[in-house]
Amino acid sequence: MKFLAVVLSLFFAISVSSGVRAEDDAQLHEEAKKAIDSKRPGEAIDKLELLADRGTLNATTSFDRGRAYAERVRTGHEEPGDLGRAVHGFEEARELSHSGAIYDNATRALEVLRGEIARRRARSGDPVEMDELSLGRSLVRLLPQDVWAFLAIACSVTLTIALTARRRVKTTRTRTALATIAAISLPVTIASAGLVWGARYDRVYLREGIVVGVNVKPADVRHITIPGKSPIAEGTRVRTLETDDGYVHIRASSLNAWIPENQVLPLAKVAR
Amino acid sequence: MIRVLRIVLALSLLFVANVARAAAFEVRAHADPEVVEVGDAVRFVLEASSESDVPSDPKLGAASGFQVTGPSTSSTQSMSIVNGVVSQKRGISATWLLRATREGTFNVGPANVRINGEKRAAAPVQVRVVGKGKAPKRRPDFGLGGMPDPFGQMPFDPFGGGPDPLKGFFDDFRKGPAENVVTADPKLTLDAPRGQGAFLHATVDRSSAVVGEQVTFSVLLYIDINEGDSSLRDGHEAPAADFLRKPLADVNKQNVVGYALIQGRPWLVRQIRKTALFPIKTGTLEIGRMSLMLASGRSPGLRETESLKVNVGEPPVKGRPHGYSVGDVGQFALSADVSPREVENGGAIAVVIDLKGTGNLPAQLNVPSSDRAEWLEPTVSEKVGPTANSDRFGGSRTFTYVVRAKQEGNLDLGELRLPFWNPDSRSYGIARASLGNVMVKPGVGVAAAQTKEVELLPGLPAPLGPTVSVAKIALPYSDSPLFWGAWMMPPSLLLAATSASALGARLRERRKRESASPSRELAEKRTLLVETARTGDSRNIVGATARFLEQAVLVYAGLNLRGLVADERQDALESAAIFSEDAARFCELFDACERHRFSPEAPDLGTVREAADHALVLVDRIAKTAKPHRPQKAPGGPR
Repeated sequence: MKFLAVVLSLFFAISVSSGVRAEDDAQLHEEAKKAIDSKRPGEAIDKLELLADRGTLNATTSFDRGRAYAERVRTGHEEPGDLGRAVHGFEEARELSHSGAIYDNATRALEVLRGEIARRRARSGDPVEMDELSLGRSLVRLLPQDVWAFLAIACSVTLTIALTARRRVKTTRTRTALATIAAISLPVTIASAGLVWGARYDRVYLREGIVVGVNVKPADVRHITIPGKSPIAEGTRVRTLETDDGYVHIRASSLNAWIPENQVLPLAKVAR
Repeated sequence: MIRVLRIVLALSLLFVANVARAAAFEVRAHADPEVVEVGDAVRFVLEASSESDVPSDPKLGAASGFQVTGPSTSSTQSMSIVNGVVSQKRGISATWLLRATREGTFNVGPANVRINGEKRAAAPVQVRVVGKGKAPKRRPDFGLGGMPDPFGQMPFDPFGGGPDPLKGFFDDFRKGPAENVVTADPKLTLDAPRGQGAFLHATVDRSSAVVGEQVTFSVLLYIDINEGDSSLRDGHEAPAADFLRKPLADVNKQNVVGYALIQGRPWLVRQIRKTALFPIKTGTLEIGRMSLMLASGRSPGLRETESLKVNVGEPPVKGRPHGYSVGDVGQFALSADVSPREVENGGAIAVVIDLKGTGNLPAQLNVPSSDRAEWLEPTVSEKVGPTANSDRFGGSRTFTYVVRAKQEGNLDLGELRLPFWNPDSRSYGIARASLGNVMVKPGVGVAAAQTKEVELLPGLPAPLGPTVSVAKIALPYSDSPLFWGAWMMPPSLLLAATSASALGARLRERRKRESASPSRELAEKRTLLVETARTGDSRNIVGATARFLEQAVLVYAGLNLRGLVADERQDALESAAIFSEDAARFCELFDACERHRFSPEAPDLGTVREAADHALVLVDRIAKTAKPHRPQKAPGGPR
């Protein structure tokens, strides 16, 4: 009986504390929004970063954090790395929402930010093209994972039917048609299944980050700056492979380099 | 005579004792300078050393006409090397600062110390104090010897040519006197030498620090005085990735910092690096090894320093002022100059902020933001480096801002503040500079200034706030292993069905092949004969009869009738015991069948039916008495 009372008390205490915490987080978020609206981005950033430090992770806080950094750029009190951090917030919002209005708004904001970054790079004589995802990863993200899965199964069934029917049909023309269908279905089903695997791997295992440093110079494995290599644009989305002695190994489509660890902010993703 | 000898011996002993006594200790004093102006200071140094006891209790003695400060005392160790034999003395050096209060010639001292319990005094030193501006000008100091280095001015210096960064390491060896008297610094002494001939030794002035606090890293080169000259090259700096590195000494100059006595051997110590390291993160940070190659000399080879570790934390949270940025450590002061104090709306105000101090000066400042003024990016100029005593890094950094007034009226620019952690006092401090007010008058450029403003990042969506709910993201269905099952199932089923079909066909074929045997064939041919005999085709009946008989011979005698000539058949059949009684009848029937088969005319139906009946009866009789013949396998043949 006593044990039951203790357990119930603990359960009640945890419920109450988590409820209070949620209210507190919501209040902080609301205050941050008001600060953005009233052109006090520094205050909003403090509050939203505090929320992130507390472990609050959802698309709206990430979106508003990106919005707060962007607001600081807008109001003329920009600090180095603000554009990159804004990109990070919006990219994270997209990762955590995947669809809907937040995703669309974050995409729109990213276009604006990347346009500004490109404008600045053009003005300083750096290449405007930003290193983005590789072709394979772009293909993986072309359609949702389940669509690739549906395509894989459909082609698998088609292949089976075509091969089965071909054994029974005697007409040459029909046999040729069925052989053609099978020949198309086989690579498509294998490729689609590969893309399903790739999409899941990306979502579960791939570690990515956003470069938040301004014109970060890429270094080699000895952490020595690679001569003649263009600096990495702020806001570039990169794959992070390993860390070593304060440096992180990053990779993008045409980029394979090491940069200081504090120049990359890791992107949060949906859990398995 | 003996008496004279005794006197001479006594005098000699007395002389030796006096000499020994004189060599046992040494006390001397000097003043620098010896002529000063009123109000100036004289450094009075008393140096005492002894082979037996450490001198103590230094006293200045009389010093009328001076205001005395001190003494500051340091211990010394000296070595005398005569023909390779080292003798040591330990001593003290006491320094007083005497400030002259009036003109005149004064005897300072005699200064004295206590050695072996006895007071030992140095000779008094005469100091002349003159009026203002009457003291002679002092000769420039050329270094340790008071003379310019003759090697430094040689146009064809054989030791110093080329870009060798270690140039000048061994200048001391060129002097080459047979006897050197040097003073060993106890601070440079090590438990044991780290190498033979020469070695490197690295030190830091502190083993724990906070982020941004200066850690002075020094690399010392110890050279065995008895080993002689060598050349050094391929210097590799000590890696210190977790530190910001600022040099405190020129890497091309190596200063002699003293001598060390290690396990009874004298070593010359040169400082080859002195660097201010500022930790950039917390944790146990490592300073790697610096290495040099000793290319010649008695013990050539690689020389490395030790790797060192520094524990780095953050300044305490308690008492931390608002706006403190981790890494701002040192002692800073801010001053600001704002001009003009009156400006038209839209006009520019120059704000020059001078940041001075020791430590790693911050590279940027947090300016007071306001809607009424726009701060543009500053231009920064700096003059930083080692400070006067060369142990601390510091200097000044000047930030020149252009501030644009955006509204008319009295513009309060506010106050600039820079919180910092002072490691000396172990407390936080705040450097402040008040910027004051600027009167902004209506100006012609207002409209232009406002219209020129270009909106940055246009079209950004509005912030969301906590009220916008986010649908929980469902994991894709295809994450389930069922997807892979569904994907693999149709082709797998097809593959399984095809394989099963092929396997069935193969099994049937195999069964059929296994079921074929001469006995079964005989039975089949018998059935065929019976069936054929019912028909009216006499040739078929003859053929079936002949084949039946052939098969019967094959089954029961193991003979192939086709392989035998007609004359041999009967003998062959008789030799097979089972045919011994019916061989003639068998041959007769077979020959008749052969004859009828190949005769141009069709044989008589009745005759051939009769022959067929006889053949059936004959084979039935044989079957009752004989067992089917089993062919013998050839020994060693293929199975």
